[in-house]
Amino acid sequence: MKLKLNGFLVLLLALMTQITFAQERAVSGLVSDNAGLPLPGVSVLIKGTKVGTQTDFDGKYTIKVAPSQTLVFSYIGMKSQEVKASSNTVNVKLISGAIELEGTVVTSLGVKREKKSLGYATQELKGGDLKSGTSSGNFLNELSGKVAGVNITRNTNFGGSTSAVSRGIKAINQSNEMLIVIDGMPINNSNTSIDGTTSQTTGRQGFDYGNNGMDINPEDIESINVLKGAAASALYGYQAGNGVLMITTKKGKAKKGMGITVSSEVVTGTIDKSTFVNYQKQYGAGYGASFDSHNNVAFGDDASAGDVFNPSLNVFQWDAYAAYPGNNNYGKATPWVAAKNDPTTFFKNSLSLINSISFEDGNDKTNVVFNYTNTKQSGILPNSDLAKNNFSLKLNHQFTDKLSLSTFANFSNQNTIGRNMTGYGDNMVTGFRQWWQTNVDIKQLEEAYNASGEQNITWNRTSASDGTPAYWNNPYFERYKNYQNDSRNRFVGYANLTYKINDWLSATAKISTDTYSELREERVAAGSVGKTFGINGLNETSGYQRYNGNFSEQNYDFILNFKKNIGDNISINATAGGTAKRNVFDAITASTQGGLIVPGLYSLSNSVQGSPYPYERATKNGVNSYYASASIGYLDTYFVEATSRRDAFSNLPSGSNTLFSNSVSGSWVFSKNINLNWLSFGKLRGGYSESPLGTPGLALIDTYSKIDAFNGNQQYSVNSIKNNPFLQPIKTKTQEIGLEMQFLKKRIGFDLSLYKNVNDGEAVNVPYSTSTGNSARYVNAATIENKGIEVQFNATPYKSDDFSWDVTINWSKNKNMVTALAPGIDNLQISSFPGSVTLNAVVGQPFGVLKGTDYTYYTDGQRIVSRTTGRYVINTSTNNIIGNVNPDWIGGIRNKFNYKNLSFSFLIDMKKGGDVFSTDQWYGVGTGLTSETVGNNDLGNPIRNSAASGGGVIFPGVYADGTPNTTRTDYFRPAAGAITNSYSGGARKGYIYDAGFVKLREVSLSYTLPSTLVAKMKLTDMKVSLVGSNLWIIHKNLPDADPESGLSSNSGSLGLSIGSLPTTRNIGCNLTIKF
Amino acid sequence: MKNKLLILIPFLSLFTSCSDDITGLNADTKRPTYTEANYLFTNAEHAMVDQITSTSVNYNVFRLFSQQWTEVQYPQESQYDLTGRKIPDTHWTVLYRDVLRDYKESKDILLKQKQNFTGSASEAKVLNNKIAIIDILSAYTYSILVDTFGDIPYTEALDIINFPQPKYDDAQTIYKDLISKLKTASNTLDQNYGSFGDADLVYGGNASNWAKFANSLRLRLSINLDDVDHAYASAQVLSAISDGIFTSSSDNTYMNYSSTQPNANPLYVDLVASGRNDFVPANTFVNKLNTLSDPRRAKYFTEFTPGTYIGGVYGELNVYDNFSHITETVKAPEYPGVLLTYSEIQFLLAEAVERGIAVGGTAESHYNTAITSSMSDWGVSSSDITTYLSRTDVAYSTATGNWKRKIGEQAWIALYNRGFEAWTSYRRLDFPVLNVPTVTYGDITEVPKRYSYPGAEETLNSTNLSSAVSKLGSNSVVKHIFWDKF
Repeated sequence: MKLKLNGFLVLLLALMTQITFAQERAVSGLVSDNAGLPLPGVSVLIKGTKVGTQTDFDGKYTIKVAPSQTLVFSYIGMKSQEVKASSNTVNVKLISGAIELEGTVVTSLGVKREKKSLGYATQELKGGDLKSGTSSGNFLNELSGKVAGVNITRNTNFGGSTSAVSRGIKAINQSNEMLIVIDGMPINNSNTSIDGTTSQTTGRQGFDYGNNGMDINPEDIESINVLKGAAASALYGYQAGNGVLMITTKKGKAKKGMGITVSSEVVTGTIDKSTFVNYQKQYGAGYGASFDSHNNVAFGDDASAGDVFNPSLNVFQWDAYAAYPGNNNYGKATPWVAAKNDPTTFFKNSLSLINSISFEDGNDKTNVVFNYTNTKQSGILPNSDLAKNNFSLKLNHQFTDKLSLSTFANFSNQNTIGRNMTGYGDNMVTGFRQWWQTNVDIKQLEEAYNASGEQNITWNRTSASDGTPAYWNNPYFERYKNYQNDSRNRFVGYANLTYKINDWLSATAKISTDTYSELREERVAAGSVGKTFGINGLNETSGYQRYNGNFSEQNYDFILNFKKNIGDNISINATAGGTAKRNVFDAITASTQGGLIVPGLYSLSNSVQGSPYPYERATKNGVNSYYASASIGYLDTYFVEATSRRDAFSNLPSGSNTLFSNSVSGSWVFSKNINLNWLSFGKLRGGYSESPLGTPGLALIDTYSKIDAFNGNQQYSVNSIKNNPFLQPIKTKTQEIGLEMQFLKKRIGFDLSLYKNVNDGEAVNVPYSTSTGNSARYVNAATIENKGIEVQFNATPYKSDDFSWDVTINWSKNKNMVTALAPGIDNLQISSFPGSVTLNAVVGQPFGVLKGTDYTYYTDGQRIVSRTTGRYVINTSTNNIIGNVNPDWIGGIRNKFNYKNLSFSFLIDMKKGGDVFSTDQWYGVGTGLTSETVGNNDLGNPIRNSAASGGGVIFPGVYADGTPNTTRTDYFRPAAGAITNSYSGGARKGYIYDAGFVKLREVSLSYTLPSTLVAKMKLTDMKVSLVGSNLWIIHKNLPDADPESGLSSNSGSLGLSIGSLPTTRNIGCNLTIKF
Repeated sequence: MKNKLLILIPFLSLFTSCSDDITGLNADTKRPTYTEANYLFTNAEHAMVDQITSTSVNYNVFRLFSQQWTEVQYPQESQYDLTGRKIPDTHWTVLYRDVLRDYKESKDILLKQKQNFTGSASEAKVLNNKIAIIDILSAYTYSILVDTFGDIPYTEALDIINFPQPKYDDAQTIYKDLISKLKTASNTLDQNYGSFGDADLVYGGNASNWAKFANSLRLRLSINLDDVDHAYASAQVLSAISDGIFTSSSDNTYMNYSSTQPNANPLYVDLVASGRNDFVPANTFVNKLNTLSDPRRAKYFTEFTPGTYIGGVYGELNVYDNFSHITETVKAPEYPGVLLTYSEIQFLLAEAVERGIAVGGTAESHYNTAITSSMSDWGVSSSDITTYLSRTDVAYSTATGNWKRKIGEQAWIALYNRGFEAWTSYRRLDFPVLNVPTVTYGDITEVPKRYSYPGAEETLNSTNLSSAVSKLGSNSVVKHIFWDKF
C-alpha cells in the first residue's frame, strides 16, 4: 500500500510540473444555482492569484486561465466551489448557503466554528424543522420534543408564555430560561406577568402576558443552534449558564425571479375534550339541598352536590327570576334536569392566520432581506384576539475587501384583547372546573346576556329576590365586558462592523439594542361581582387598572478574532473582546379605587375615590465584561479550547462586584485515527466550565414600603425582605463529556452527552420564620446540582433516489438535587398554591417538591381508614412531601418521509413522570362536578346516597391494625356540603397526579410543485403543506386537563394545574410561493 | 489602509467608561431608606387593629371559634380547618412582621433621636411618651400571640441578622415580662405631655389614656394568670388598679375607621364590599340571647321575622336567607375596631372578687356594671337594662351555675364581635358550653383551645419549634396553653 501511494505521488508530481508550464487560454461557462437558474455577479477567481472576473447578467463568464490552475467560484449565501480549469468550458452549479453551514455551527458571539472542533454539545435545528407543525405564534413551542435535554413547558393560555429549560432547573430566584440570542445579540425573554399587585405565577388570579421571546418572528429564523452547557456559552457569561438558543436570521440570497416569497397559513383549533371537565349529569345545584321551601334552586351555591335530577319535578331556576326579553321561563317552574349545554360549549374554535411576504436580493457585496409578517389569532374564548405585525430588515454589505457591515432591525407590534384570566379567584374557567351547577345551560346564559342588552344576568343569583351575582358573573358578560387588553411595541436591532486587519486577524465592533414598551389595561364593568382589584387589592365592583412598562437594553461589543493555521497541522482560533451591557426597566401601575363614576368609561380620572398612589418600579443594571478564548487544533483531529472572562456587576457591592470564570474543553476526532469502513465519524469530547450567575437588583440596601395614608397620616412599613449588603458574585460550574458517532455513511449515528452542573451559593431571598420580623433575607445560600444524560439518535432506515425515511430521536434524563440552603434552613418555599400545596426546594431533594397533607399508611403502604368513621386518617402536617415536579425523562421521536416532491413527517413528544397538584380536582370533585363523583357502589346503590341507606362507599384501605377496611361511610356528607375525601376531609396527596404524557405533537404533509409546473405558472417555487399540532394526547394521567397546561413559564408555577383552558387540536394549511 | 481602523474609534470610546465602578446603577430610586417613626407607628397600629378586628377566613376565625358567628356555604373554618388557609401562619406573620417589626423600627428611630437629643425638655417628654406607648402596644401584641399559641419567640424575635431562627421562650415567663413592661411604661408616661398626636389612630396620642390601657391590660393578663400563679396575679391586679384602670366606657380603646377602603373597617370589606354572604350569627349564641330575651339582639342581629332571631347551625352548612344577619351597625365602614372596654374590665373585676383578690366591690356589683356598660355601649335604653338585670336568669344571685358560668356566659354575650376576647374568656372560665360540630377537620372532638403553630415554622425553625411542641405534648389545637389549666 505504502509503495503504491509513493508511486502515485511521483506520478502526480510529474503531471503537475507539466501542467504548470501549459499555456493560458480562455475558459468560459455558466454559473447557475441549484434550480438551474443563472446567477449574475458571481466572483470567479484564479486560486492563489488576484486575477478574477464576475458572471454577467446571464450568469456567464470568460477568463484567461491555464489548465493547471483552479477557479474559485464564490457568491454570498452560496457555498464556494473550486473547479480545475482543465477543460475550456466550466459550468458550475452553486449550492445555497444553508448547506455551507453543514459541519459548521454558530457558537457564542456569533462565531462560526467547525462542529467537530467543539468540546461540548450543540444541536442544530433548521427553520424548516421548526415549522413542521402549525405555527403557534411563539417559536419556543415549536422546539418541543426536538432538542435533547431541553424541556419545553408550554401552556394553553391565549398568547401565553412558554418555558425552555436546558439540563434542569439550576436557580431558585434567577431565571432558568435559556438565553435567546439573535445573530450574537441577546434578546430579552423575561416574563413580566407579575405586576406587583397580583401573583399570577402562584395560581392567584392574573394574566399570562407571555414570554417576550415570542416577539421573534419565526419567518426570520434560518436556523437555531442550541448550546446546552455552560461551556458552549462561556463567552456570554452572565445569563448564559442556562444554555443558549443561538438564532441565525435569514440573509438575502441572489434573487431568483423577483426574489419575493409569499407564505400564508390558516390554522383552526378545536378543543380536545379529554382536557376539560367531564361533567356528571345526575345531580344538580347545591351544597346539599338543591331547593328551598319555595322550590327555588340554591342559586348562590356554586356546586353540584345537590338533589338528584328528576324531569317530573318542576322548580324555579335562575331564569324564572331573570327578566329579559324572550325569556319563556320567566316566572315558571321548569323540569329539574341536567343542562343540555355544559360549559364545554362555551369554547369556540380558534383561528389563526399568518401571512408573510419577504423580498430578498444579493450579490457578492450586498445582500438584503425584508420581511413583513402579519399574525391574527382568535382564541377559544369569546372576545379573545391577538394581532401582531413584524417588520424585519437584514442588510449585509461589503464596503471593501476588508470592511463589512451587517445590520438587522426588527420592529414588532402586538395587540391583544381578552387574554384568559389564570389561576384561582375570578377566573371563570376555574369556575367551570371547580364551582359550577350542572343544571345551568351555557347557551341560555348567552341568550340572557344578549337579549337583556348585555346585562350581567347570572345563574349565580344572591337570592330569588336579588339578582346580583353571589360569586360568578354571567360568563358572556365576563368575557365581553371585563376584558383586558395589552399592546407591546418592540424594536430589536444591531449593527456590526467588521474589519479584516489581515488574513488572520479581524476586529468587530457591534452595537445592539432591544427595547420595548408595553401597555396593559384591565377592566371591571359596573354590575360585576366584587373582585380583588386595583393597586390596593380591594374588593371592587367596577374599576380600571393600567400598567405602562418600558424596557431597554444595549450591548456594546468589541471583538478581535484571530484565525491562523501554523503549518499544515495546527489551527488556531482565538477571540478577545469586551462587552458592556446596560439595561433599564421602569414601569408604573395605576388604578381607580372605590369604583367607576361613569360606568363604561375606563379612565383613571373616572375613579370614585381618586386614584391611589401608583405603583412604580425602576431598575438599572449593568455588566462590564472582558473575555478571551483560544482554540487550538492539531491534525484536524485533536482540539483544545480555553476561555476566560472577567465580569463586573452593578448589582453587587462595590469592591466585591467582579468575578473571573474560566473554562476548558477538548475533543478528539478518533475516526481520523481509526480507519474503519463502517465508522463515518467518531468524536470524544469533554470539558469543564464556569459561568457567572446573576444577582437580583436592589438587594443590598434596606428600604421602606409606602402604604396609602390613613386619614392624612402617612404609613410606612419595613420591607418584608431583608436586604444584604454583603452579597457575593457566584458562578455555575459544569463538567461535561460526550461521544458522537456516525456509522455507515452517516446512515445511523448518535450523539451522547453526560453532564454535571453545580450552581453554588446563589443569592436567594431565603424565607425565615416571620418571628424574625421579616419574611425572607437575601443570602448567598442555595446550591443546586444537576446531573444528566442526553442522547440524539439519527437513522435513515431507507434511502433511494426517490424515497427516504429519516428518524430522529431525542431523549434526556436529568437528576436534580438541592444540596444546600442557608444555614439552619433545609426548606425553601418557592410558591404556595391555592389548596395549600406548596412548591419547595428541600435539601437532599430535587428542586420542586410538592408538600401538603397526606394520608397515613400501614406498613404495607395501604391507606389507613378510621374504623369508626370509615374515612381516611389524615396526616395534617403541611410538611409532608407529596410530589416532585421534575420529569423522569423527556423525549421526542420524529419520522420524516420524502418521496419525490412529497414529504411527510410526524413528531411524538413524551414526558415521563413529574407530579402536578390539581386544585381543579381538589375542589371540582368536592363540589360534585366531575363524572367520577357519581355511580353505584358495591351494593348497587348510588354512592351519593347516605351510607345508612345503603349508599356511600367503603374506601380502599386498612384499619390501623392492618385488617381490611369494611366500614361503609358517606361518600357525600351533607354536613360538610361536599364529597368526602376531597377538600372536605381529604389529603392533598390524593390530588397529586403524574404529569407525564405521550402526544402526537406535529404532523406535516407537504408537496413541492415540480419546477417545470412552477415555471409555467411564472413562479420559481411553490409548496403546499397540511400541518397539524397537538392532534392526539395518546396518553396522560391527569384527568380533565392537559398536564402541560400550567400557568406561566415561571418555574414558581411548576406542579400546579388550575383553571386552565382546554388544549386545542390544531389543523392548518400552509402555502409558500416564490416569485 | 491602516487608517481605516479609525472607523472603530467611536465604538472604542464606548469602552472608556467600562470600569468596575458601575454599582451606582443599583440604586432604588423609588423607595426611601429613611422614614419617620410616626409613619411606622401608624402603620403598625393600623395593622394590629385590623388583625384583631378582621373576620376574613384567611386572617381571623375567632368569632367562629367562640361560636358567635358561623359560616354559610363554606364551613371549613367553623369545622376547625386551620391549615387549608394557613390561618395560624397569617396571624403569626401579621403580628410579628407587620405589627411588632414596625413598632420596633419606630422605637429604634426614636431611641436614636434620644441618643443624639438636642431638643427642648418638653420635646424629650414627648419622645419618652412615644417610646412608652410603643412598649405598651408591643406588649399587647405579644399577649395576643401567647394567648393564641403558648410558647413563642420573644427574647430572640425580630432580629433576623443575629437570630435567624429565634428560640421559643416560656409563655409564663413572657407573660410576667409583659406585665412588668406594662407597669414600667405606664409609670413612664407623663400625662402632661402628648406623644404621637394624630398619628396615634386610637387615642390621638393621649398619654393618660394609654396609661389606663396599660394598667387595664395588665389586669387582664394577671387574671389570665390567676389559675397558675395566684399570689403573683393578685399582687399585679391590685398594683394595676392602684396605677389606674378604665373607669368608664369613655376610656374604651377604639380605633375609628375611615369611610372608604383601604382604611375602612375590615368587617365592612368582608361583609359588604366583597359582595359575599359568608357569615350568619351562630345558633349557639343567638339561642342564648333568645332565652334571655336579651335587648342587645336587635343591636347584634337583624330580625328574621319581626321579633324573632334565628342563628345558623354552628359548623354546618347554612342557607344565608334562612337566618338572621349581622346588623348594619357592625357592617358600617367607620365602625370602630375595639381592643379593650370598660365592660370587659368590670367582668374581670367580678372574676377577681370570686378569685379572692381584694379589688373592692362585690362580684355582683362588677357584674352588673359590666352588663350595664356593655348594653349602653350598644345603645340599649336604661329601662331595658334594668329589666334585663332583674331577670332571675340574669341576676347574679339567681342565675344558674357557679360564678364561672354566670360571668362566663354574660362576658361572652358582652364580648360580641370581639371573637378573640370571647374565645379567651371561654378558655379561662370554660363557659359558656359550646357545641362541637358534627364534621370537624381531622375528626377532632372538642372546641380548639389554641392555634396550632404555623406550618412554616416546621420548616423554617424546626428545632426550636419541636422543643416547644414537645413541651406542650403535641401541636394539636385541643392542647391547653399554660394559663388554661382547667
